[in-house]
Amino acid sequence: MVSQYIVKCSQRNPIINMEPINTVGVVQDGSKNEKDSINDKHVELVDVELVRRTKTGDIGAFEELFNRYHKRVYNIVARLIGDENDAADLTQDVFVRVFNSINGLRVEEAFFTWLRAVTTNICRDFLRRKPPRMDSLDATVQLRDGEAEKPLPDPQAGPEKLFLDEDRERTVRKAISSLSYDYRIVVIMHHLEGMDVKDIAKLLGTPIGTIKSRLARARDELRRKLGPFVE
Amino acid sequence: MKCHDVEKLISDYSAGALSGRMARGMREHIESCPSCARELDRLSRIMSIVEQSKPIEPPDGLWNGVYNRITDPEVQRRHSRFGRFFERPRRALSLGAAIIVVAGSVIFGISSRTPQKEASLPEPATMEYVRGHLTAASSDAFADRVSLGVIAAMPPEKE
Repeated sequence: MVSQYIVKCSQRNPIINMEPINTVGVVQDGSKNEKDSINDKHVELVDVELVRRTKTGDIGAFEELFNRYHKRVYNIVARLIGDENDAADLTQDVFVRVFNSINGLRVEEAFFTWLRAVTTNICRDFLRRKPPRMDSLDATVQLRDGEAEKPLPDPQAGPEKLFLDEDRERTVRKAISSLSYDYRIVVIMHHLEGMDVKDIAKLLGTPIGTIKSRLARARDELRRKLGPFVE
Repeated sequence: MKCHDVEKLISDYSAGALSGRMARGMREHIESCPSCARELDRLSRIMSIVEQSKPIEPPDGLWNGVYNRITDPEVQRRHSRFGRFFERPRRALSLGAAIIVVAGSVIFGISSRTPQKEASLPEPATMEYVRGHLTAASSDAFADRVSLGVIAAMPPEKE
């Protein structure tokens, strides 16, 4: 069993900032110093070793992979499908599918890229069966265990009403979940997962120009929905 | 380019969705127009707020559900060495092909030999060469003897 791991964290995005034993910073524009490059290789080695052991049926190694990535997967799922109850089930589906088909992963270094692809495929299949929620900013949302959210702050009231982090957080989540699926997935992958447009295009099997266009339209909508809350 | 046009295209510009000429036009206008520059900055701040969205905490117990499903006996069987081997169609096909080739070679080799025809002995000159080599190699440790072991077992030619 691997007793330690090193996790890359994005300086921009707290969603993928987990608590590691060592943290390596990666500058968003892709430039890294030599030390970061060496540590990045260590990150890859640890994943590779865990994947290899999982292929032999080592459930402990797979649990380690689960512990490292389940939060990110859950966040992608919850934001994509807009329902935290279903997100739990789908997150489990993702990891079960990964375990069952991991022997087919030839490039072990690409584990997380593959995991993300499995996640988006499962979400896409789920939403085909069940239409996505496109919540308006006015609608209340059922959280887990049936608890209802309190109403969002009035956008007419201006930016000072978003001083509470909690209010801002809810407003942002509602704004994202109110986007259409095509726009939502691009926003989640680019702004929350830190993927560049080229990689999103590869992930979704869509031309880069289309991704850029969707990103632009999504930003238009978010500008409209969140603009009143920003000075 | 006018402010009205820039305002409509500002999201496209920020997403890199404009052609080179349009993007240059936008940039030149923004650099000289404080109002449009403020609008672009406002868009950046809105997207920063989105990016700072806090992670949603998953519920407890997710691993238990995964564990129960992957330790199901049927799933375990598929992950066993035996199951894994045959789970890979390419390996199974390769093995099958190899078996067919070997079996075919054996069958072909057997069928090509006629029962009454013995393997012909090598030419006498060849045998002399081999016997000489054997003699020369008698003082060698091992290798030559091994390689000529089969030939040495052949009956000597009649004088």
